Amino acid sequence: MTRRLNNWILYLILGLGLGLSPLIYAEGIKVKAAEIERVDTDWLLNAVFNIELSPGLEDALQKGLVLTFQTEFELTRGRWYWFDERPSQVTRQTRVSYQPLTKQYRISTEGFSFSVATMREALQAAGTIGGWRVIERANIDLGKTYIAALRMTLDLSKLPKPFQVNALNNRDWNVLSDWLRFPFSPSFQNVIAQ
Amino acid sequence: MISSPIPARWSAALAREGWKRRALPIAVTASGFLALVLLILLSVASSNTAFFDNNFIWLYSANVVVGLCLLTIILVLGAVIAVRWKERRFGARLVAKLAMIFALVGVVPGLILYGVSWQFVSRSIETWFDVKVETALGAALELGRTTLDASLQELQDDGSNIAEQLTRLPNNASAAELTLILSRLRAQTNTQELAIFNTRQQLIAIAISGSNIQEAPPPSASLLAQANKLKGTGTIDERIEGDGSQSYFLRAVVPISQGRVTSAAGNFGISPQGLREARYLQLVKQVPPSVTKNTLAIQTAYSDYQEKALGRTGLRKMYIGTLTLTLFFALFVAVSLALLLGGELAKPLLMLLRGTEAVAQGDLSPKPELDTGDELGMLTRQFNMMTKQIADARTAQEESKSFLQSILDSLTAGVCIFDQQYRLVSSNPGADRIFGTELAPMRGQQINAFPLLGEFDAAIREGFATLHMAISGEASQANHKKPSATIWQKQIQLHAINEYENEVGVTLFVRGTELSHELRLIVFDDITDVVTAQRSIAWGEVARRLAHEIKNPLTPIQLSAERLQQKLTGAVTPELEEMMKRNTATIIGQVQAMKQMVNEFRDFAKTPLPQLRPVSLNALIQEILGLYEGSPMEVQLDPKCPDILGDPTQLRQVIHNLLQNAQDATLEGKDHTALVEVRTSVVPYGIGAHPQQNAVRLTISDSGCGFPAKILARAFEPYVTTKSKGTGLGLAVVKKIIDDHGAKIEIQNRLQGEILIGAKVAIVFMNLAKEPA
Repeated sequence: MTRRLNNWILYLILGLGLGLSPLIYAEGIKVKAAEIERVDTDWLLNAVFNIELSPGLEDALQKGLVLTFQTEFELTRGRWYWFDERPSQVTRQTRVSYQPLTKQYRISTEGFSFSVATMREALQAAGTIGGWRVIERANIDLGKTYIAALRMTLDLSKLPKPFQVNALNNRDWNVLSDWLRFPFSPSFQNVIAQ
Repeated sequence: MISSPIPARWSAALAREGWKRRALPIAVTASGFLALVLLILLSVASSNTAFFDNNFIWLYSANVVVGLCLLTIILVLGAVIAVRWKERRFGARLVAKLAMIFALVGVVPGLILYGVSWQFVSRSIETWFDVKVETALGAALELGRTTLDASLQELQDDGSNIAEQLTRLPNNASAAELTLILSRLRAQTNTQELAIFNTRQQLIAIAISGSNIQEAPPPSASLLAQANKLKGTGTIDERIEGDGSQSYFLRAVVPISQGRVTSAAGNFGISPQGLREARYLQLVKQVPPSVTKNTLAIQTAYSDYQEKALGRTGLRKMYIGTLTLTLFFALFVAVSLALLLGGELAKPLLMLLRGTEAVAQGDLSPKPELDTGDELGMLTRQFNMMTKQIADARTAQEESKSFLQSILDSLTAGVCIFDQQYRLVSSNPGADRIFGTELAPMRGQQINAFPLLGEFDAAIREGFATLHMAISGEASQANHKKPSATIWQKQIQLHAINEYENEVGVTLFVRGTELSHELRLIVFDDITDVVTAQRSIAWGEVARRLAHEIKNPLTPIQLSAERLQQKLTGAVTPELEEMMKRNTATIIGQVQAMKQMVNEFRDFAKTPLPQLRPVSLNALIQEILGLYEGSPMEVQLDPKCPDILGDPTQLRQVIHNLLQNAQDATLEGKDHTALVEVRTSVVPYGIGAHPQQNAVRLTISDSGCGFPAKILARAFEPYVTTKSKGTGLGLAVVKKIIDDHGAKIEIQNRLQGEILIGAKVAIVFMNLAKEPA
């Protein structure tokens, strides 16, 4: 009972601490750069995210927990008479896991996987997106301007259930970047944000 | 189910509270159903399906919210019961008690289970994690790692050996030569692949064990740098085959030194050409599948263990959350079932309670019954049966009471009930009739407060006083059971004053008895008529005897006077003769008058029974009117009058008497010229459903002074008269004859507005001659 009480007190302190944490630590995901590049008829996204994990998450990763980062991209155009037009809405997932036997980190994206030796490299690799086909020519109107939105989150639903329960009341686990929104006009060759 | 129609006021009350009654159960059922669904989902969610994997977090959050909702509902239900209890709402206590019992029955086992499960979950999760197991797993992993490292080291050593052999080769050896040598060396060292790369990671020569084996990628720049620095390095590559099976490949990279000169030259930077010519040997060897399999199993177990150890807080939270939610759900089900069942159980009892209240207030109408077939339903039915019996008994009682009341009401005798202080408790219409006043307003008062009844009151007090005297006298000797049967009776004369300020002599025969110690019953009858009849009988007897006694000496007196007259005529002086004649005439006249009077008395006393035969009243009147031709009368005879049964001689006397009286009265009246009216008519009479019968009415009216009220009451008694002359026997005789004929006679004063204009005698003959067939 006292242990449980202690836990609660700990949670309380943690909660208070986490409330202030964005000011102290640079944890979370931040968009460093994003670029939409026209290749042939379609558009590809290149982006770099800076992923910083909290000590707890790092520990979990090192103990074999598989972290899934989900990148979401959507293209919208506001319409005054109806809901927003959404010509493109795609997601892609990158799994980062630790292999204790070989002491390597494995990153796998869309069927392609490779290993790196350190966590730093692994997170860097996970945060780098190159040549992701996000917009198809057939779906957009060349004469119009759209809003592109991009973010990366830690996909909690891919975690084992006990961690999901934990994540419910623990902000440590809610790792996500803000939506990065920038105008996109098909007439330009490359669109660079930040 | 309610089988009999609900009384209107109840159904109105039901309709008013209808939405309240429906809303709560519906809300409770809906939330209960939702909670059940979510709970089932949560318990099923431990199976690893994609749907639950993706939506587990939402499911869990929803369950937490629902758990809170259930807790709120439980608290609200509890509060509702508490409020009803405090308000002392009808039936709330019973429902609350039943609900509490049910809730206890449901909740206590649930709590015990919850507590045990809580302990079990907390402890058993902890017991999964053991330092020994963790250490063992870590050691196993380390072992695997060491094995791999050892193999890698071995491979690296092999590589160093080969590199040593390769350094002896001339620098300008062709690629084909190198490949040949590599193939030979590969077979010697039992590796999959031997390859030589230059610093630019370009493949120079390669030897592969089989054609279908994938070529290893060229060593990365960092790897080369490391190899250069450490004189050889190695990595473990992991390959995932198409079928998902993993395999480990050991890769060793060893620099091939090109002789001291070249190498020294390269080191000193004199010959960049020599550096360019630096070469690296890469060896690739597959870890044996059995080793791979075992090390992978260790790695999986280690990861799982670590993951579970890390996630145990969440796991416990999850289990306990599910348990808590289950407890809430069980509580919720228990409380709502308790409320429902409690309400159901209490319903018949409440119905009975309402029923008894209604019966207590006198409403004996049938109450709703429960058609459940159990004892409670039986109870409601029995209750209704009981009510019906009470209602029947009451109806029967009321019927007999009203029967008794109607008998009392129609009784000619007066019945009064007094209490001990002689206050009137009850009276019947007969009493009202006898006293000529309403007694009902005097109830609860002593009747001596009313002047009319003072004598009556005094008489009954005296009567009861004598009764008590008698009882107390006997009490010492006789047993005590009999006194209630004792009654007193006496005849009293009331001298009440009527509206004409004349005395109305009413003779009462009063009987009294004690109903109980508090109530006294008085039964009395107006026997004035009886007394009158007795009086006329007595008069008849007196008259007969007097007539007999007086008549006997009258004839000798008359004969003696006539003889004196005869003998002394002419024998005495004229003066004496004159005096004698006058006296004897007086004697004879008076004797004659006395004889007539005596005859009248005799006639009154000895009126024979009428010889009844069919007589036409009209003809009889016509005949008598012939005698009164000197004084005309107004005659209206109804020719439709049927014959009556009567004695013509006696009827003639009656009519004669009445006409004589009427004529005399008219002469004494103010208007001497007014005519006497004689009228006959047919009057129908009938009682109830009997066939209507006819009667003949004879009316004789005069215009005299009428009768004073005192005379009117006793007109038919002998010696009651208004005339200056007369015996007063006329009407008495008439009354007697009429009574003998079974007819009725009535005397009234004729009134024109307030003014008395004469008197009227009416006779109704009901005894008609049978119609000739």
